[in-house]
Amino acid sequence: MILCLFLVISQSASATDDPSPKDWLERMMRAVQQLNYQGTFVYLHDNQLETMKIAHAVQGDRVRESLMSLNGTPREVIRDEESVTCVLPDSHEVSIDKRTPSTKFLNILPQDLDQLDNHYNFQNVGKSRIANRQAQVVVIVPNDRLRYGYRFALDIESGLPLKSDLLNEHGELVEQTMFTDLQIGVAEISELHNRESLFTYRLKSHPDEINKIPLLNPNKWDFIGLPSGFRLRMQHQLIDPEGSDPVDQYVFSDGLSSLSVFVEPETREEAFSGVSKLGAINAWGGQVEGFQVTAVGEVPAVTILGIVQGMQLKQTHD
Amino acid sequence: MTEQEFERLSALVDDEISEHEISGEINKLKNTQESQGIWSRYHLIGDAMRNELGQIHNPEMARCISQSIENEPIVLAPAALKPRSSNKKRAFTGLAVAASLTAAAVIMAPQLINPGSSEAPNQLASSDQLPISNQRPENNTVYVAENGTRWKLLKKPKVESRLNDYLLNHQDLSPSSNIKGIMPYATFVSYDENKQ
Repeated sequence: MILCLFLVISQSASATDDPSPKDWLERMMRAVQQLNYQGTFVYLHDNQLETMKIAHAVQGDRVRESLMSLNGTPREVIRDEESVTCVLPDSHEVSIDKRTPSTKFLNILPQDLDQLDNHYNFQNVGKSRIANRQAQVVVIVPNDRLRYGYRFALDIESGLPLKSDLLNEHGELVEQTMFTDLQIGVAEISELHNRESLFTYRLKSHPDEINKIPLLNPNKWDFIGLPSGFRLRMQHQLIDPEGSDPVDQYVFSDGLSSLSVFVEPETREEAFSGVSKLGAINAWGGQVEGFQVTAVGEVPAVTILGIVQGMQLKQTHD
Repeated sequence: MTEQEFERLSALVDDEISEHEISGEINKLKNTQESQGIWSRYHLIGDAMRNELGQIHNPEMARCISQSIENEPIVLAPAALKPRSSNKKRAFTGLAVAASLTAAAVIMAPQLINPGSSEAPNQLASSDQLPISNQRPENNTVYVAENGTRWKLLKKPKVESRLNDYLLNHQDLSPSSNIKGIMPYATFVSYDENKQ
């Protein structure tokens, strides 16, 4: 009887209370990771419009994802629990990056959404219709100019993001993706060897190596005056399969936006020096205390500069 | 100069003034030496920063930018052509200036490096008003076409390849991969029609 009463109350509560923006985002995160889906979406960046095909296949514990450009030279990224594989034009190489369980994503968990409150506002901003599907529009608005904002139109039926907008520190659109066609419950991703014969790309593979190990000296650097909200979340050493110098990677995030700082000995002939940009990604390269430092991330340039400018080798007292 | 004038000049540097105020501010900048001094100091800050940053250091940068402004005021402020709130609160001046200077470096550097192409952004910024230049009618996509790689201001394929590796590595760990699945890789899979 009490249980029945509880059910009646909870049902009436859910009928009257619309899901909060965070409820929608949690649903989106679950949908993106757990559902089978495939479709075609358009991708707008740098005044350039492209079409891409996406597929997300879940079979028991195995998740495989594929993203393929339908314009120009075929390029494809295939990801599963073990590796990220890029199929690129012949002038480049196919590279396989071995993933290790300890260094999977900086997962955003539902409880983490609350921790983002210091730096972002979450709002439901009405309904929309995308790819002939009804959508709820949810925005994530940053409180300052150190991070980007997001606007999602989420499929009311499944929670999948039908349209995603990335807004820069001035609130201007820097990147948009929008499905034109989406099928839920189906996903077909062919095996990699099929692609090899299809495109005759070269393979460069090191699937048996673990390519991330703990830092030899985890206390080598001080990062002074990190931009508000950003913390060092992860650090490890990347092992280059070609046997060249190892690279230390430091990942900073506010829980949603993130960037990586790569540090290596200053030995390369052609080192990246200066600033650069690719879509919404900003990058900086230069020398810091005799090391080659490269910083890359989907954050405003000022955030990247704020982090690399605060880098100092730790003083040793022994 | 009054504090308000400082604010306005700084706002001009930061692209934060409204469309109808731009030409007035630029005229003031042309006419007063003090403003020009402050203007070049703002850019010296940027130069100093870039000196630390590496390749874009150019002692003539401030002067070049000032000249560019005199010659082509529209080039520096294309973003300001969009309607903006003129009294927007400026949250953190130092960093904001740094940010805009970085942006200015990104926007201006191709012109300084390739002076011949300087009219192209002008066309882009106001293509609905100006007739297409009869000198270089085919080259409207100067930013992308004159860069050697998909990354802006990056010309060396080896450096690009390395930066791509880093980006890929970062994307794999990024929380946005978690929120948007494999979508963030779109940047990577993206096809550049100007690079064939």
